[in-house]
Amino acid sequence: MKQILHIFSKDVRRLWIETLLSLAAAALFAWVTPKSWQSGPILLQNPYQEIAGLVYLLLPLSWGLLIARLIHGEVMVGDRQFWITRPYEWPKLLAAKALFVAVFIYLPFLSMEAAILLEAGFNPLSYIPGLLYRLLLISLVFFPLIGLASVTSNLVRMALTILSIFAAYIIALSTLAFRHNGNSIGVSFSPAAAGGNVTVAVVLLVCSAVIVLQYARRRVLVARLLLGSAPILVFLTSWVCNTSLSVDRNYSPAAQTDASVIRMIPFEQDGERRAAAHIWGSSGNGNFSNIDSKKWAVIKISLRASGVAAGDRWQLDAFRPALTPANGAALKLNWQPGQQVFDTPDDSNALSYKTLDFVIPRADFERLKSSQLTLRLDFALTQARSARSWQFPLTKGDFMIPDLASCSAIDNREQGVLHISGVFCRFPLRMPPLTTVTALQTRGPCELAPAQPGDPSLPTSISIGDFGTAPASFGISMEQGQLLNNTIFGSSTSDPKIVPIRLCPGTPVVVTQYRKVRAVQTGVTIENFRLGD
Amino acid sequence: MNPAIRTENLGKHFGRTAALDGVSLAVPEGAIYALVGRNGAGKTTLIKLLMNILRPSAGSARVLDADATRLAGKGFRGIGYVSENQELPNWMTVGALLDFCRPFYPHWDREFAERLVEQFDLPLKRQLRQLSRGMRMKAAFVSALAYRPRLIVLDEPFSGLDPLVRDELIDSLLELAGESTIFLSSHDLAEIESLASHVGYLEEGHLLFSEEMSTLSARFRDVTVTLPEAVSARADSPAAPGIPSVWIDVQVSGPVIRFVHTQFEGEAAERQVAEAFPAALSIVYDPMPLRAIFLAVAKSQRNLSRLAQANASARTVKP
Repeated sequence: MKQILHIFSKDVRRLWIETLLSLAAAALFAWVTPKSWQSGPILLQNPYQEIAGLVYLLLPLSWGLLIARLIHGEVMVGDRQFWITRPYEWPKLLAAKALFVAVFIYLPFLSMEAAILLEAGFNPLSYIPGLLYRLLLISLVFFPLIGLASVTSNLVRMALTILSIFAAYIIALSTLAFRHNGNSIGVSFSPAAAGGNVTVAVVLLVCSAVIVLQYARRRVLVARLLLGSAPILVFLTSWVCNTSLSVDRNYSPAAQTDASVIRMIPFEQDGERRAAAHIWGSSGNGNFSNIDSKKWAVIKISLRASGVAAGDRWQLDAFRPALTPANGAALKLNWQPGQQVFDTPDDSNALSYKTLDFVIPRADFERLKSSQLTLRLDFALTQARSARSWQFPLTKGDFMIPDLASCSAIDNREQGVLHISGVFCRFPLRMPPLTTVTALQTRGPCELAPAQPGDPSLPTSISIGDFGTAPASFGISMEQGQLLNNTIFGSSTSDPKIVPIRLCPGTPVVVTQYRKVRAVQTGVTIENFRLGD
Repeated sequence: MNPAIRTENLGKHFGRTAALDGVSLAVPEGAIYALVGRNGAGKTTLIKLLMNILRPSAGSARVLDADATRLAGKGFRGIGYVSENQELPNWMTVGALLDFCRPFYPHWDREFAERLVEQFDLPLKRQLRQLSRGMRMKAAFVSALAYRPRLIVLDEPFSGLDPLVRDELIDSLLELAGESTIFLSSHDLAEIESLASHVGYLEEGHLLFSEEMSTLSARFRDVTVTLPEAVSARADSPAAPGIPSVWIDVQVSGPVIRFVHTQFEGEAAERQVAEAFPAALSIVYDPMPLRAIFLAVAKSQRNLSRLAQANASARTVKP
């Protein structure tokens, strides 16, 4: 322990300027972040937002600098260093460095997060698991930095290596994006998007191995190769977790006789209702507007859901199409992202079709377009049910939604009449479980009485959050999101024929939080399907 | 008593280049062992292998009874290592460097350290980066000697230093001679002659000899033979027939033949020379200073390797 403290105190003496800079950046961030939150009148410029943006950049830079200088104090690369022929015990040296990182990076980070939570109106003590989990997630930045510092000889080389990695990452992304990968396009390469905890574990394990290897044996080449393999391992993890393996594991097949599962009805099988249908969804090439139409063909399927119980919400997370011609080889695609929600109870007066689109190679399209096809669509669905709800009148200024969010209503004044142009909220450490916010917009100026249920008014609704179970998300500070947005004809217009629609103070707001009920796979088969339809 | 350092067939390759090949040596406890050789001979590589800074490609080394490849942590408490190329923590003052080093060594001799600081006239409050090279070496010496290590390893410690600093450093080493084993590499043959008890000579990664200074001085003689008439100039060829391999650096100038006898063992060697030159008018045997021995050995090695290269080329060209 003596040696650990001895090396630690040496580092404190040596790095006092870098440490002070880092602590000052953390303190400044904790101070400026709450001030930068949007609040008050819409036109009022918030000067703190620019400062917060700068500090947001400065903070990771100061951590990077501190880590590089700390590790390079006893540099692992090279054979001329003074310390390598001194009685340093590597576990103690490593422990001294870890102690420094804990005291001057992790602890300030934790304090900064707690201070911001407190400022937002949340008791940090109620969020200890989330705070600790966020420390684990922020290690996804610190561990690779420590690993990189341990395989580089100085700050300049480390900075150049980081820049090279970013360049390689960008090149890899641009190469992989829209490249045909088996039967799907686009490859998700973000730890948050795929892999989740497995990716976190892979990154932390590889970096830990590199760090220990360097401190114990100073095997620079092996350590560099190992560190270089980390992105490949992360990519593979993401790929494995993103493929059908993940869907098949997480969505259990629903029995055909299970009446509690919604039934997906394709437009082609909807008989007389087709005439009355209203299709919501993409037009043109939709999600694939940038696609090379010489190589790819966009296929659109319209469908609606039947059997949605009141208070339920079904998310179509993914779908998997397979096209089989009468003669010839079938075209089977991988799971495609769904991104559609079915929450309207079956009502013949409110037929709403939604569009699913996917791409197939142009060559397959040409091969299949004149054939009678059997289209099989598998769906991965999540059923959610209303769990909690809050109802309150919309007010100007800041307000809390207990246990959920700290919000600010942005007010706007038009010809002397106040209305609300949007509501922005801060969520503690992560986006909330799936939450829907609904409010009624008033047709006409707000000096009239605010809209009430049953009024001839237009609802506005926003959904936010997901069913993730992690107590915190990767990042710094609060998660932010918009809960309400007055956009429909909300802007000023000089045309007297257009009646503005406003979110008015006093309007009842309903916030509903959902809990996940189950994740199921279901499917539908369309016979005699034609690509030209 | 086990030697302080022992290597057996130690080798180090960097890619296809052999920096060190089959080096076997033993340094007795209490010896002052000077490792000499030309630039690039492999001296620094050998020292780095001993200090576990590099890992050997072949063979083994033991340092203070420990496998050199496992030398780490507490194993360095008994070793003081100073190298001309060592990167010191230049942000520290001399005082801070010594204060930082002290807790690592249970046997740190504070009085001895203070005496060395005084003797070297080291400014304790100056940062190392502000010091001259000589002063930095002095600071490194104090930090490596103050705990009276059992083994002191010095890689070209006097290189580029002025004579005054050199003498000061040598004095500080001599103060520990006897209680410490000293292993140093150097170019400066004159200064190690007065210092070393043992000497090893490295040439292109090969250890040509490793022995006590007194034995070395005793077995090398500069032999001058004066004949009644001039002899053929071909006699100076290293591979000339009739010249024993223990005679090196053979030079012919008219009736005078000079060579270095590398195995001079008194009367037997004198008899051998006399039998080789029965008509000699005179034969003179002169003891050789270390510098002359090394020059002769180096020249002889160079000639041998040139000859080997020439033979190899001739074999290649021959149809």
